[in-house]
Amino acid sequence: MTHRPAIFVYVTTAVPPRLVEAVIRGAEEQGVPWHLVEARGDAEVLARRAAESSALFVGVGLDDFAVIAVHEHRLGGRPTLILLSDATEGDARIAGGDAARLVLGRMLRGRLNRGSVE
Amino acid sequence: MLVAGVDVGNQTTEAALAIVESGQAPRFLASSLVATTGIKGTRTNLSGIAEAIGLACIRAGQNSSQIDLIAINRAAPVVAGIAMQAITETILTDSALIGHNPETPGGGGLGIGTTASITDLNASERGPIVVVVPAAISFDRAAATISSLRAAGVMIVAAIVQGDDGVLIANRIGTPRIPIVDEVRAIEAVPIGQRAAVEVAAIGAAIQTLCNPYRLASIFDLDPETTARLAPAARALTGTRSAVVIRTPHDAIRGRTIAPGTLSLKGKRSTTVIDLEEGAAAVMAAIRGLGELHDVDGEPGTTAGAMFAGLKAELGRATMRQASCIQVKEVLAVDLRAPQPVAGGLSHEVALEHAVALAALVETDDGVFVDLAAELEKALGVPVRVGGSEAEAGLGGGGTTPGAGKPFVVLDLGSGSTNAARRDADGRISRLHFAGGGALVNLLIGTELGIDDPNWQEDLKRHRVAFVESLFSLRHEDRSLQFFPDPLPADFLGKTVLLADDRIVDVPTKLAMEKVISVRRQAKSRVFGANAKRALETLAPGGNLRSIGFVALIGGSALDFEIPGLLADQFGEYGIVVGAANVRGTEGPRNAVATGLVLAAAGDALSP
Repeated sequence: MTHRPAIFVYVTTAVPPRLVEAVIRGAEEQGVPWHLVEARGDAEVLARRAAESSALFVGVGLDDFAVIAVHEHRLGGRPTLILLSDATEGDARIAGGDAARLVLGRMLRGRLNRGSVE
Repeated sequence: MLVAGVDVGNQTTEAALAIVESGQAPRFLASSLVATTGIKGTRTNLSGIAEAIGLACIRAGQNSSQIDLIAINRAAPVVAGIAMQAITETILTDSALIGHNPETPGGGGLGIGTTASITDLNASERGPIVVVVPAAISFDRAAATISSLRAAGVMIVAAIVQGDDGVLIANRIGTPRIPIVDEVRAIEAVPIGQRAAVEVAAIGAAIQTLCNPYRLASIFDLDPETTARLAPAARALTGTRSAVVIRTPHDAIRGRTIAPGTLSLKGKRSTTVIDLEEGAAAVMAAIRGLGELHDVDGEPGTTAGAMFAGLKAELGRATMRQASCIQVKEVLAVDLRAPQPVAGGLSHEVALEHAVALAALVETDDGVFVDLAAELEKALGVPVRVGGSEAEAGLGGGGTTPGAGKPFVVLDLGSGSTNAARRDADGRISRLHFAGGGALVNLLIGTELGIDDPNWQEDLKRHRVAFVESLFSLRHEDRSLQFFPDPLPADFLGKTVLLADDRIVDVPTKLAMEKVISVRRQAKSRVFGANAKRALETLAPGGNLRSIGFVALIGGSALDFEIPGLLADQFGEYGIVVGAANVRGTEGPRNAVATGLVLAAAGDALSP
């Protein structure tokens, strides 16, 4: 099955649905396609796997604990770019938008993972 | 004989060390450059001079006690000052505009209607309506409401939205598409029940209608007087991808407009009065028309008056004279565009206002400057002589540039002024001082980019910029892409950055890289290009630039990465050879005056 290039969003089965919705709308507002996949694991691991699968090199992971991670595949084993715990809908919308901004080369708006900013 | 030539400049003190023997050309051993200590022409310069000489001696393997003669320059008796004045201001008293140019507006096209809050609309309205959507209404509820109202026959032609929801709403309301401007934070300030026009252009494009005053006149049924009053608002919207204009007619409170005032240009026999509002070109033309400038004053009680009073006070302090004794004999006026907040904008819009920057030079008398030669001789115990003027020394040193023939002009691109000198066939030297130099370039760059910090202004003048296109790539000024094996900082993504030495720094501006580049280059042209033109036109016999063969650039800005190229381009059509000097074939544009001082001292010492 081929997919057009898209940000891959990996989510767990018990993820709060409104968070997923918000992430997706963030990407849609930026005009970048997304592709949703159900998977198992914590957000960070999911984000890495999603980034690896995405032809745009960008992946988002969301888990049952309202943790959201965003990663760029070319960052490899480095800390994920974005890592939010207890994410709100607002956080999720911005994170989705930032995933798209990584693709578009636009300024990121949300909080970046401390471990990833030099 | 071991001879040291020392050039004390405003910023740097340079030394050249040479062995001078009769019957031979001086043999240069070493050069040095240190920061000038204190204000040029005062006793405080002595430690910098000693440091420069000492450094040159170390490099030459010589002992400073063996120096037989020191030649220093006679400081050019001019002091510079700069000032700036805005001459337009955009104040909207009977309209509101939204021109913050959000990242992701929705839909497209032009919509003209009456503003109404989405919560107050019902199906009995006919329209045309520009719907206003606060963030409390989610994007899907807003889209559903708009769709059902449209289905019921309400003509909704545009939307103004508080949240970042422009594309989301546009994707859910079907056809025909409408323009949607989003991220309007102060949504409660949007006037309701008023005629409004909303325009969104395609991605990568700019609006065509709301930035045209005549189209605004048609849309809002304006008479010529009102059209003229709204024209600055239209200008503020030029180049944006989306915009909103809303009429809010009420008793228009006359906004304060700037009346910059006039300048009084006193010539030898007459005085010309010129209004600063006419702009820099008119000021410069008026000065040219006068011939010789004896003094300049601004109209008392106006901003032009305050500007010159301030300049004279500053120059008086620098030369230790009363401001009333200061006569401004040389001025450079430059037009620029200064971003200023629009009064009446709803989301911190900024308009590029016209402004004029002025650089002025005053002459001082030599008495102001301490007899540095005597002080230096006392301090170092070495005979010190004052060499000729900086102009002569500059010509002498600059003339050691291989390939420089005659007729030969040296242009010194300094910080406070641009100086020119020419030696003609009879050996006579002409020299000129023009107001405007590196400091004015910094002022122009800082003003047009909205950056006040002087270190940033200097950095933006001296270094190239680039754009962070992805975490692993940088787009350079020449459009080439540089790949990085390790990621760039994520907070630099999408930003213009400065490439200074081996640092990459995030420039404090939201302006595009192309704008930073064009501001930088234009600032350099408008100061050094203009002054080079004035200098060469004055120095060329009969004003014929073709009669000047060779121009060598010295001074701090001769080292700039693009100024020599800009000037070479500018004068190429006249067949003039223009380039940064290459003193003694080894020093580039540095050390011209210090070298020239040594050559002059050698010539004098050895001539009968």
